[in-house]
Amino acid sequence: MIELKDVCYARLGTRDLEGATTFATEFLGLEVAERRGDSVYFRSDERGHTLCYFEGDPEDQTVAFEVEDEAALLAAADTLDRMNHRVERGTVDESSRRKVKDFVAFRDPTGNRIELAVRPERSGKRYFATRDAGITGFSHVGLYTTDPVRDEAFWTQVCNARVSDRIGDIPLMRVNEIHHTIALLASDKAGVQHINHQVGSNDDILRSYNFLADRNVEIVFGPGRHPTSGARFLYFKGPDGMVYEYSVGVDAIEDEDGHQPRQFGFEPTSLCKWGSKPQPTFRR
Amino acid sequence: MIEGADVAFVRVGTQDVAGHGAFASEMMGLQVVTGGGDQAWFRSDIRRRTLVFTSDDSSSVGIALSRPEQLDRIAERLRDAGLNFETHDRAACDRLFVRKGIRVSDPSGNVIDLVQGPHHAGTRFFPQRDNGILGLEGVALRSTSPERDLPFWRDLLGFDLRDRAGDIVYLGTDRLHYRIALYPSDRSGILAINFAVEDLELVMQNKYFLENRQVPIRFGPGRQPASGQIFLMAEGPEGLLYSLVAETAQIDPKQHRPRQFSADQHSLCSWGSKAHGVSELKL
Repeated sequence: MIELKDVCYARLGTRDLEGATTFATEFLGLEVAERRGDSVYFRSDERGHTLCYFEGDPEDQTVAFEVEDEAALLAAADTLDRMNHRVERGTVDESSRRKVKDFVAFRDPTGNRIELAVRPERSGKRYFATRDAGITGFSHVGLYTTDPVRDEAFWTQVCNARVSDRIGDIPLMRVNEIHHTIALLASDKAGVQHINHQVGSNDDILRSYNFLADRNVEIVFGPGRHPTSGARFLYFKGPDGMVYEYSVGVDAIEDEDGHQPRQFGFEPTSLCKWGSKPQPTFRR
Repeated sequence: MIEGADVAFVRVGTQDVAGHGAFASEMMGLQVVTGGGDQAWFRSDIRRRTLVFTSDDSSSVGIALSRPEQLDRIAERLRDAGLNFETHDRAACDRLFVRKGIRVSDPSGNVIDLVQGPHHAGTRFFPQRDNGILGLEGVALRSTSPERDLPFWRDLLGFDLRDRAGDIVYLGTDRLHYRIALYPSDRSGILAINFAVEDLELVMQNKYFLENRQVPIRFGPGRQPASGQIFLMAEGPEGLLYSLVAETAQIDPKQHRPRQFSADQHSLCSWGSKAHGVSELKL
């Protein structure tokens, strides 16, 4: 079984690197860690980087998870190989461009590009935000799936994810005590649906709601509260149609052995217990 | 000076009792109190009745003193200051559901019923919908000059000046940051009735509930910097604002010194929300 420790970074291609950088800093609030060649690296916490925009195709999206060490990386590569999932070993240059010691890349059953990384760089310098959004760090992703049941099996049997709750067929899966690190949403093709950063308080959510709406950033869902994770949230549109989320107060699942996933019906109050509804542009 | 005083009731004088009654019931979900006849009566907490709509009285705010002596002392100060007031007789007290009371106007013309012993109900408060309301907490009043009115409220009635935002004045009586706010306006009257709700959850639930029913949200959800209060102001008939509030700060009356928040919109909401269509709510 592939042991995912935590989400590590997201890499997104874009044709407008300057525009994406402006959004990531002035609107989202991330800090530029480095500009290197055709890439800009952003920080959201103590990690060296958690988001990278690079000049390229917006459909070129990657989500990376950290694994324990080199041995775990080799074991993971072996597992995937024996299952006939194509695995690519990262080159030294590619690892450097991801600020990790080593990594392997493969595609999940839907075709999302996933990387498993070891020894991601930490920064010695404190994270300092570009704007006062209250970000405490990159926390989770929503991925599109062409078959939620099949992909849930992949993440929970080939990898070590556990289902915390389901909304209809959508599993919210954890790899540690945080309610979810991976959420799957149904679609007709692969892609990252949303990128989540945690913020410090409810006030941060409401402040950002007004800040972003005043600047014509499209609010696609919220402010609201997920009955599943308990988190208060806000979803908004970024470059190339990517949805970004701020949330605070995600529940922790401490009782690994005892926790039974709940089944929420696929209806608006399962997504927000305050009564907000997602806009049509929240997802494909 | 009036330690423990609180806002006990709000009476709204109106020709549209039915419209106000329907809003308070169906939109805000307050509990109907029977016996109103031509008036519409509601409660929001353990008290017998906290909101009245009537066509045969002026609007007034009921401020309850905890001890009868406090009421007597205020009456004395009003007399010494040469201000007229009316002492409620038994019949008037019965109509107001209080033990004792006097009625006086502030310099702007806002009518205040200073009372003692507002009635409590034997039965628990039960709202008509899950609005999370805990009770009547305070009132925002229009004032034709809060600075001119301040000596009346502070020196005669005994309120503490808590803070100012621009020319807006916040007045308190105990550890709760404020119960009465005076907003500069071209006229007197009740601007908003503050109902405490359980927490942010309920403020937000109410926001979506009311928006889905096309109730105008004039301000909020927001957080008022002076009081720390989370608020949502919904507009009922004739521009009457219902302000659902949570997390109003507790302060130490002996230590708190009045602050002057600058005259800009962030002094009314630290979350950056803006008021719509209510001139008193713009700094």
